[in-house]
Amino acid sequence: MQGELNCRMKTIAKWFLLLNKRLYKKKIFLILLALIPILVLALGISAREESGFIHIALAQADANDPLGEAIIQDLFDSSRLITFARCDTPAEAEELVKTGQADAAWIFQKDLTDRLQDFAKDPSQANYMVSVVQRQDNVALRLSREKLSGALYNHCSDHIYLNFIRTQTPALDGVTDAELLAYYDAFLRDAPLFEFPATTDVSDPSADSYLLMPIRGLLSILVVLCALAGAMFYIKDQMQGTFAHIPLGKKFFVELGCQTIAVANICFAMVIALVITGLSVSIGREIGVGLLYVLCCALFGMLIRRIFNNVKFFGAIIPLFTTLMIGICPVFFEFRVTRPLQLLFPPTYYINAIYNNRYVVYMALYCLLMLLVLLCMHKIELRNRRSN
Amino acid sequence: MKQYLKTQIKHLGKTAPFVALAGVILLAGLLLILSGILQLSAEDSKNQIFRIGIAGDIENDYFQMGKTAMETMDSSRFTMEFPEMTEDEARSALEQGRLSAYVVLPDGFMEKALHGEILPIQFVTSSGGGLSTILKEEVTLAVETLLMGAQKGIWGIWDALIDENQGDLGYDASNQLTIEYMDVIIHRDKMYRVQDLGISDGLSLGEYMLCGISVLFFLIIAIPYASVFVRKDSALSRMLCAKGISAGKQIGLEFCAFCIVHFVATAAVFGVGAAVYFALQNTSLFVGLPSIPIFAFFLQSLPVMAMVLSLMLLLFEISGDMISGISLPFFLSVALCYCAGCLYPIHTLPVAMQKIAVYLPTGIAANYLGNCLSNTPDMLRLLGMVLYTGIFLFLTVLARKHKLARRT
Repeated sequence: MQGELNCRMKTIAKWFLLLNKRLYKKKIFLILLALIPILVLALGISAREESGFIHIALAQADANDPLGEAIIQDLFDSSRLITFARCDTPAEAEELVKTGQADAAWIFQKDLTDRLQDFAKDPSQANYMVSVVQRQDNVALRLSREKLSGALYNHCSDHIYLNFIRTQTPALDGVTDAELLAYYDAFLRDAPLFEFPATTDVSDPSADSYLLMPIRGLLSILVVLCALAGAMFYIKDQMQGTFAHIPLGKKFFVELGCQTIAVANICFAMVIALVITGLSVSIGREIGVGLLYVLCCALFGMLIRRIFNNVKFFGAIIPLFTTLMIGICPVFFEFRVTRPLQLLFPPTYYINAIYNNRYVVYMALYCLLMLLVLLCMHKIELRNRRSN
Repeated sequence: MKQYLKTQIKHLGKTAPFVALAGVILLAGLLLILSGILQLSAEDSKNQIFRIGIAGDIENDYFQMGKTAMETMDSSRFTMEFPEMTEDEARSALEQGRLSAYVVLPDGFMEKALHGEILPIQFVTSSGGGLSTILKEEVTLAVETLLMGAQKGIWGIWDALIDENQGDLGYDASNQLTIEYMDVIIHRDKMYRVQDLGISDGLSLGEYMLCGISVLFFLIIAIPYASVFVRKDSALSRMLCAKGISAGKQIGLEFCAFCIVHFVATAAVFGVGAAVYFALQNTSLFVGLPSIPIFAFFLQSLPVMAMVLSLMLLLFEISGDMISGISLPFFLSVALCYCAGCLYPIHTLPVAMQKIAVYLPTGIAANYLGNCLSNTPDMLRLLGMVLYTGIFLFLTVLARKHKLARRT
């Protein structure tokens, strides 16, 4: 019994080495494995430089206006999504918009202090304080204007308070403006207004960068692609009779072995890339979920191979699957209306399983389901071949 | 040589129909995705992408008044909706994607707010990342700024009246002041005046993204040809060499055959795509997509396709097996498109990446297509693509010669 077990283990180890050797013989495969962490690291380093989803050019009609200067200073470094660029003149800011180098220009008008005070007295009748110049409005620019109104509001809130007291509260006529402002400034909020409760079991280290957020998703699609490529490789092996000497009943495990080895190598490179770029969660979790994902992709590749068992047709569907996964799986956007379709593809489970424990269970169930379907298909295939 | 060219065309021709079929579906899928993205960012007031649920202490007249004011008068009504629901309903709706986020007002929130004390509010977004998660900080900071100013004023007037022994006037005064602040907040869009210049020169967002997605499309659609070009051994090449067709000529003929077959397949894809687009352009499926002259765009894309095919030929040549032959082109295609601003608008990338992007083959291709769409053709970019095509073919020849020189 022990001897038989040792023999089986040795056979498995031999197959493991031979299947890996088949891949490693091709230098380009090793180059691909090395390229993945290098390119991801390069992207990670450059993504941490200053960048913004929206670019706003700032300028003052009166360059000597201290209020405009103060508001502009408030805006700089206050947003992760908006990058501000300072321009010397309004014309320069408008030119940046016309040439597409900025999404909008915010030009602070002359007599800003007077306009602000007029606004505080009667906002419906006051003159505007900032001219916003843009090529075409959209949701992102509309949301960015909330930032602008917040910055302006910060400087007119105390004027609203003083105006109200002077016009509506005669009981405070004996108090000076300075004393009233001291009451106003005395209030300090000791805690943030909004709390953000955690919705995941593990926090996402890439959540604060829109450039790095899709990296894990794109790499997970690469792993699936590798599984599909491995399936194509197996079809060609079948045509060439590479595994003709393997008994029919054991071909299932040979195919599973081939797929797993190919996918495991790419998955390993993916984990290395995420770790060195600082996008990974704990090593244990990465390896555990990664191993399950390897099995998931290997089974997925085997299932697709059984459905499209033709090299040319198989090759043609690869770009389809790739695009579907980029569009449907939660890589760039979370189009939750496509939820049922998302659940057909392995990257959905992997991307969520890294941060949510229940998706680890879902991925295990998904693997089990695919394994059952494959075993049934294999049994039917065996029966058909034996009866022929 | 003619015979080899014919053979290659025949060989590739067997794969081309599958590629064309996949291309039609792929193009439709990419255009649907692009249409969806453009609709999300459109200025149409019906396209409100942020539905933020409100749960908790919402059964209060003042809250309902404030919410009604926001929904009818505030500028945020064009970008946000605030449906009311229980916390369990909100959690479920967030999971199913019917909400972008939800807030939970703690018990007694409105009562305390009327006395100038604002309790912390829970803001919950989805776990999978996405733009709404990143935007939550921007949105909540903007709201916090508005509420903090009002709170300072309300506390200030209360404290001043108490110190002047007029504390009994505090309640009415703070209510009146709250209404003043609400009036200013609702009219905050009057702080600025918006001027739209229009897209007279340059590209709209839709046209820009179309160029980037086209480059990605051309790259991905060429990957299936790996089944034809990725060869384990070089027996055929050796035989051709023996018959006087050198490595350079072989690559040249293969490239010509590749271009002929792929141009015909892509023309079929564009043809079907155009027919479907004209048939469905008035439906909601492709709303928001820029209208472009499809036939002219196809002809102008030919140099881009030629460069892409030369790159693919190089990658297929250096890959010795199917796994590398498919994984490597996909990885490099996505990496090159990502770094060149094909997947994100280029100005959203860091400055260092923007500088590199203009020299990448995908960057040059996307910019060239953009110039064609805006009727400002740039010969320098066309020359750049011709140069890259030449470099890729040269490297392919070198790789083939290296293979042939190796002893089997």
